[in-house]
Amino acid sequence: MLAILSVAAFIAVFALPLVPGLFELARPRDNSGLPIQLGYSRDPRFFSQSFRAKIAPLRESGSFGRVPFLDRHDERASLGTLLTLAPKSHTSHVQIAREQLICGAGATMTDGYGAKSVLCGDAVEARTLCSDGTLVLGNGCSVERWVDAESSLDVGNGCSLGMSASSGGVVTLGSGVRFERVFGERVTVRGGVAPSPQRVKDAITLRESDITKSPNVIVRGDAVVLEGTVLDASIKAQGSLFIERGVRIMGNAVARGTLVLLDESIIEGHAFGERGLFLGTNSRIGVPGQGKTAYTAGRAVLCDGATVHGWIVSEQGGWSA
Amino acid sequence: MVVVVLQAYAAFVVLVMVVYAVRHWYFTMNRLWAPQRPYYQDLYDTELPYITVVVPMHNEAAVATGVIDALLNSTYPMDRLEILPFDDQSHDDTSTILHDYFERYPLIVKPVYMLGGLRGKPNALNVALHLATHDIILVFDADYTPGKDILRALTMAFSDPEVGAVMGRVIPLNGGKNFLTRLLSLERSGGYQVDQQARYNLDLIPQYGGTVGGFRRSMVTDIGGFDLSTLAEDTDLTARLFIEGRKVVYSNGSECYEEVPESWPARFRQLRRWSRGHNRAFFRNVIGIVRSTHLSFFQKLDGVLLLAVYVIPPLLLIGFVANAVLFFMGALPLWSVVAVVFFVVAFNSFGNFAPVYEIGAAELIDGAGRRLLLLPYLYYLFLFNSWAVTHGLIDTFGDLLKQRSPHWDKTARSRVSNS
Repeated sequence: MLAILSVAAFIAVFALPLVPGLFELARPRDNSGLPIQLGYSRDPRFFSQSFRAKIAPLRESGSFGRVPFLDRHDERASLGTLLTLAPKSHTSHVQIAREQLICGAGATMTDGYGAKSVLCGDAVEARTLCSDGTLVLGNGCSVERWVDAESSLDVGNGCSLGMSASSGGVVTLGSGVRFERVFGERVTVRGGVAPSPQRVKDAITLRESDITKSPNVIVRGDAVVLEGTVLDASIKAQGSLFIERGVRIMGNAVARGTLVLLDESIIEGHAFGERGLFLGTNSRIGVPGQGKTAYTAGRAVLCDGATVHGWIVSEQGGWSA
Repeated sequence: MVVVVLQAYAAFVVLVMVVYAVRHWYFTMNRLWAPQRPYYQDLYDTELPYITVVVPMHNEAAVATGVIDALLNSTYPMDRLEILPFDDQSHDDTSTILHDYFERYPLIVKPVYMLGGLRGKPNALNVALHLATHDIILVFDADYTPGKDILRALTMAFSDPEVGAVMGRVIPLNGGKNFLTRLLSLERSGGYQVDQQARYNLDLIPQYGGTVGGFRRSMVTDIGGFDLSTLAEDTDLTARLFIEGRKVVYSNGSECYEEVPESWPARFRQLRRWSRGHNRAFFRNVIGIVRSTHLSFFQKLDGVLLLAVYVIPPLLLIGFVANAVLFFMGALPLWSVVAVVFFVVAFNSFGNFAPVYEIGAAELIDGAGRRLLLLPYLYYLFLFNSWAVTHGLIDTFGDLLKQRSPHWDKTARSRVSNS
């Protein structure tokens, strides 16, 4: 009897963990495959293009005044040709201007759209801002989510650009602007100068004569590309990559650490600094007419005149000096 | 003497299980709590590189249109894309289907008809090394359904000049079909969401899996192309790239559907084939990994543990037998019984077959619910896996002893033709 009980107990111990699963097997409730967005395609201006598509029926409706906004019960839209928000005023209505939207200094709002332009005074706060023409932000403005302009985006000093700022044309950032992602045909800084990170002492130094032998350069550790070097290839450093003044790299530059690009230097391909990115005065990423990316999973710092043709991505937030 | 040998072997098995258990526990903790290393998917480029996409096919009439249509619907610029579907001695309508695509898209779809000679994926890939027009070659299995953005996402990895190969994430399309596919779906989840990503985070040895990924032709040519004597050309390539100082990177966001086997015999054959090829890659590359001057200590350790992964289940099975013999000889010390039981549980929990920790963590990240209740069944799947893997190891020894090239045994498709 004891033997039978022992065997039964032994089997029970092994079988017990299986019992809960039997219910799921008998009546499956969680057996669908992991969904993949097969139609997904990366678009730096996704938010604004989606927003434009959503408000298109309203814009074309011919309505004026306050109207229901999409299917939202708690929001309404103000429609008009020229919409103006008084200084320090507040509106919870989505502003859709068929021509121009003007926001006075200190005004606060949710979403704003102007077909020809959006002009914001100083210290305007908005959830999103969008224009099919130009968009100008005064000093100290704050955008919670995203801002996009089809033609050009001009950002004043000390603004905060939320998750994404983008333009089909030029983006000009003033001094002290905080951002996460900025996209434009040309993104340039009109600001100050920040002290560059210190060059690593025991880094491997590279000059042009060292690196013409190989099509690409891979350095196991920190690396410094010496002043004036021209490299017709890509370069990767397993550590930080310090590119001195006046260097021109015609391929990509990849660093597992911080990527530092000093004054007047150029990377014509992508700049990928895993832990940080510093773009010195008048430095440049990409070439006109070809969109490339300056990426960091850390923080990015952009000095006066730094230009990126394409996309700047700074996962932990970046700022212009 | 016999007792001492068996006891030493039992102690060795326990040690191996400890090593694997610690390794996978660390992977899981890294995936759950450590900062995740960025991949290159955020690189935006208006001038994407020219690429060649290779799709090896053997009797794939049921799925051929699916994969080629998906590739043609990609957002990748068509003037920078070349698709080389390989009809590897098919007996069904594969060649007719491919010819139809060639007539409709002559500048993009360029079928290659392999009419004789050695059959199998490594051979097709070696031919592709010669026929591909471009340096970046992406590879998809015929049963895969690539999304619109995946070509771009995978290609961006090659912006890094050190990258020799890239691997995306495989997700079962038929994961909910039956009991087996549900278990395989769990296994896949752990393997990619945690294991591959953690190895990428830690700069260890992420594995090029050969099915949704790609490689740089020049680098693969430099190391001698694909090894025709192995059934796991992907593992072999991974090892050889790392030995030569190149990198394999993993893109967790490059997800692609595949079919997993729906029957136990098909799964047995698949595992046996993987084991046979993987073990061949182990014997061929383990010394190279250890001696490579390009790898750190931890990369070497991870490389050896990765290559040895299909040696472990037979090792364990023999360990069980050894312990049983010791038990009946009355020579099994109490510490050994406790240690073996403890580490078998640990191995299954944290280690190579990792149901609780690794797969559980992966499924939680993926947002799983009640399917987690099936995790205990994976303990028992271990025995099935071990049996199949042991067969594969025996095959490997046979291959090595007889100097024979293995026969390519394709996994049967379950999808019904829509062509």
